[in-house]
Amino acid sequence: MAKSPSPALLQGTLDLLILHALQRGPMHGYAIAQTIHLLSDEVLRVEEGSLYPALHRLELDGAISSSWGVSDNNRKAKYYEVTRRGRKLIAAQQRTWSTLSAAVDRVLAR
Amino acid sequence: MRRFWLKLKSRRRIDEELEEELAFHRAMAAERGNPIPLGKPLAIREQSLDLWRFQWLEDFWQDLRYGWRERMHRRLAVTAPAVLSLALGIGASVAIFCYLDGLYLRPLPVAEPERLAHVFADTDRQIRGTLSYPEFGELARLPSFSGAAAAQGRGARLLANGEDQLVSIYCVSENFFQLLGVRAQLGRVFGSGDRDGPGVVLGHSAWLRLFGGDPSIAGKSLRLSRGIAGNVTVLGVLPAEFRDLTGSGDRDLWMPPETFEAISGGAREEFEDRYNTSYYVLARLRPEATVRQAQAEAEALHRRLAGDYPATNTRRRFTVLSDFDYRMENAGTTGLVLFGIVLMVMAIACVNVSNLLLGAVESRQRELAVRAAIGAGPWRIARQLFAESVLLGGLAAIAGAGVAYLLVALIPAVIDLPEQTRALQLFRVDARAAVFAFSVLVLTILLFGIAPAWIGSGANLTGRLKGAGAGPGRLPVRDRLALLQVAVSLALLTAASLLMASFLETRSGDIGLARKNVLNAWLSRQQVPAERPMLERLQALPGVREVSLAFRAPLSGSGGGLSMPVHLPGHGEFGAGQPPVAIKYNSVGQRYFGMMGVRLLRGRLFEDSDDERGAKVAVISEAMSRRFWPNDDPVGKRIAAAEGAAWVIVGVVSDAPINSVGEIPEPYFYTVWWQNPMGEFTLLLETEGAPARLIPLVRAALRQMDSKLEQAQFSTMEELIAARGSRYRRAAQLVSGLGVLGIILTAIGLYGVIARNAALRRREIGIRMALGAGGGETARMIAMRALQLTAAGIALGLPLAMLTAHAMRSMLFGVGEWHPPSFFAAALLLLIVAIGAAWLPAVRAAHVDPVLAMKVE
Repeated sequence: MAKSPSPALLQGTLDLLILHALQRGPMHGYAIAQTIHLLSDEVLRVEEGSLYPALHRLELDGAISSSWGVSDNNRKAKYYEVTRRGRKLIAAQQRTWSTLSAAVDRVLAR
Repeated sequence: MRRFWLKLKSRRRIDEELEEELAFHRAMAAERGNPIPLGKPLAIREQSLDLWRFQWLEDFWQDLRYGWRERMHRRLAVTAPAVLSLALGIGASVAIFCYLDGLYLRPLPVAEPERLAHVFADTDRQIRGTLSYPEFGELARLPSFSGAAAAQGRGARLLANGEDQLVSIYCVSENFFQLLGVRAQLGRVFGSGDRDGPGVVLGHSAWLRLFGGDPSIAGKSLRLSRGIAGNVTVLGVLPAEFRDLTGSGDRDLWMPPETFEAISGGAREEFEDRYNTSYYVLARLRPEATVRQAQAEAEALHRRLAGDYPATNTRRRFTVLSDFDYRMENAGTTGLVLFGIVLMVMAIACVNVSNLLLGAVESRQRELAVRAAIGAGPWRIARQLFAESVLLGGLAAIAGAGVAYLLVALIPAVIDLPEQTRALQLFRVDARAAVFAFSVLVLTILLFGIAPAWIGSGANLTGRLKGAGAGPGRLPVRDRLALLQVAVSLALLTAASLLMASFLETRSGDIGLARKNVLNAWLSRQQVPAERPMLERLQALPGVREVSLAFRAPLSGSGGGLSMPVHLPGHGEFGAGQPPVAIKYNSVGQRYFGMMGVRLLRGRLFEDSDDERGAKVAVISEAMSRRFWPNDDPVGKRIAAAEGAAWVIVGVVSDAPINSVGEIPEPYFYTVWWQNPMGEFTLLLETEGAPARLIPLVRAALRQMDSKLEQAQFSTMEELIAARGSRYRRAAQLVSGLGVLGIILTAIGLYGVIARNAALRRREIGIRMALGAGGGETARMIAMRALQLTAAGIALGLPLAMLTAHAMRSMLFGVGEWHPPSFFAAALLLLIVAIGAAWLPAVRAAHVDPVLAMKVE
């Protein structure tokens, strides 16, 4: 159980975070969750309950693809990687996010 | 598109992969001691998998498979009675539908039946009356009609194979078959323009009955007699589906008027006669015309005719009915009541299933609550429960189809269907019945499936998980449903007992005719030299008590009896110069009244002196007296036929049925045979003992007088009364059968509710017994509960039962709609059934071991 509640992610931002994490190379689900957790300075925790449905949704959208591989500790694991379509999506989503967060900052600054 | 292909990946594989993936995730988290929160595993699986599916269709399939496992393997004890209840209900409804469909609903097998219309004449005294031939000609020319055909029911004797047979005839206009678009199954129909002497078309059942289905019948010659004998050529045979226009009957021979003239010696003047309103008119609407337009034109026509022919057409209105409306009118009360009763049976069956499913939901509360706790939403659970209902419905439909086939095969053996329905095999399970069955099924699934799904998915799941029972004060849903069931059963059983009482009344009550041993012999007068010597000779036969004769025996099914347009000289409304009124009559011998049990109310009956030389006298029925002389003594008044003959009324007698037992009495009068002889007559012989035993003796006596006479057709009054009262028997049989079904279903339902109730109170019963209550007292407590429920249901059902009785009042005979014994019998039967249903649970409760009961949670 987390001691402090992790901030709820805005709808759609999880997809962006996943895609961003996957830019570092193919990863399995647990590694994705860990990467986001660490990159956010341990602020964001991704529940598997949101992670796996999101991964499957992205896969069906064609933004990522999956394949079975072997993990560092010799276990069978499913690896995800970004497709070309996914890269385009990242660019687009990043622009949207920047616009959005800048706008929110501006609102809160006044 | 891409998604589509991806989705085709095997579901099982995706599921396994996901399982593996999640397992890996947890293993990693556990290994690293990482506090990544776990979600609800079931929800994750379902949400992730949902993406891969053709969502609800697959879900539903899965739910069905789960339901099948659940139902068939784990809960057969609930499933079997539910499926059985529903199958019986569906089977019975389909059988009743087939019955009504065969009798009334099925459209005529003609081209474009939706453009067919029926035209009738309504007057103040009669609705849906037939028309005269001139009126037919005028109607046929209405702009909305592309054509019209006329038909008239007749009878003749077929002289074949050395024995006479009475055949029914439909005398139809030449264009009849063209108008309807009916083709012959064999040979051809008439009206195709070629004229090759008098031709007839055979009805399908007559072809089978009279000619054994002879395939070479077309072109053969028949000898028919109706007054004079004549030869006619068989042109063809009609298809089996083609029936009488009135919807249910069949006719033996169909012929144009020219052919009929050839065997009846010509009656050309009938086609000019506006008094002879015996033609049935059928029209075809133009494609763009509506019934409403045709009705408006017909109204304009009857207003014009009333001006041109006041004698016949004053106050005479035409009504145009679409074929569908006409058939619905025919189905009338009987059809509606039967349908209503079937609905009641279905409702009872649905309540049963609903209750059984609710019981199952209650005992599965834990399972459902667990499913909810691990992430299944309320909608998901409702869907699961509903899928089980659909599964039950599907199983019941399959079993119900079996029940329907069985009933349709069995009913004709138990219930005497109207002859033609049986002969034409109109009573059968077919595509129409299948469509009906499917609609019933969908409706019932919705009816019984929704309550359990709603309750099973309800918000109170946590409470249920804790094992809390129903709250105090409020009646549980299942008890309320059982109450409803008892209420509907009361209405159903009341209907059954009312019809049964009516039927018994037609068997032993006063029907207006005496139940004496009377033998009838129908003869054509052409064959008889003189009636009097014949009567004397028959009177002398051993075993014959009394002999008389009549133009027609009552209830002989000769199609309404003959009516005569008459004036009532001196009468304000119907005196000379006024439009004549058609009144039915009979011409009878002196002993007729005594033999038939028709009682004298005023004046005198016919006497021996009322013969050919005496003054012409008539006796009228009570209904006629009441209709025309409500405040006056009719004795001494006169009846004058439009043709000139006149009779003095000498007496008034009680009403007797003419066509069917239980009909509303209509004005009727009797003339003396000797003063008004007719072309044919029926000999009436009152016998000692069973009348049928005398047939050989009478036949021999007739043969001695004339060899042709032995071809007389015999019947007994007892047979005629039974045949003409058969609708009461049919209704009683059908509805009682449904009533038995209803009570069985109700018994199952009550048993379920009471047993459940007793099970819920096990702990309480244990405490009571520990405190010294005896087994008998406990059993009484359970039984009282059953009786209370039933009594409340009966009270609730009383208004419904009264409404049902009111709706079916025209189907009753000799008992009023408010017939206390019938209501009482229904209520009593229900109470007995309730006690029966409570028996087992009560006995079980009486043997509850207090220690065990309190220990068991």
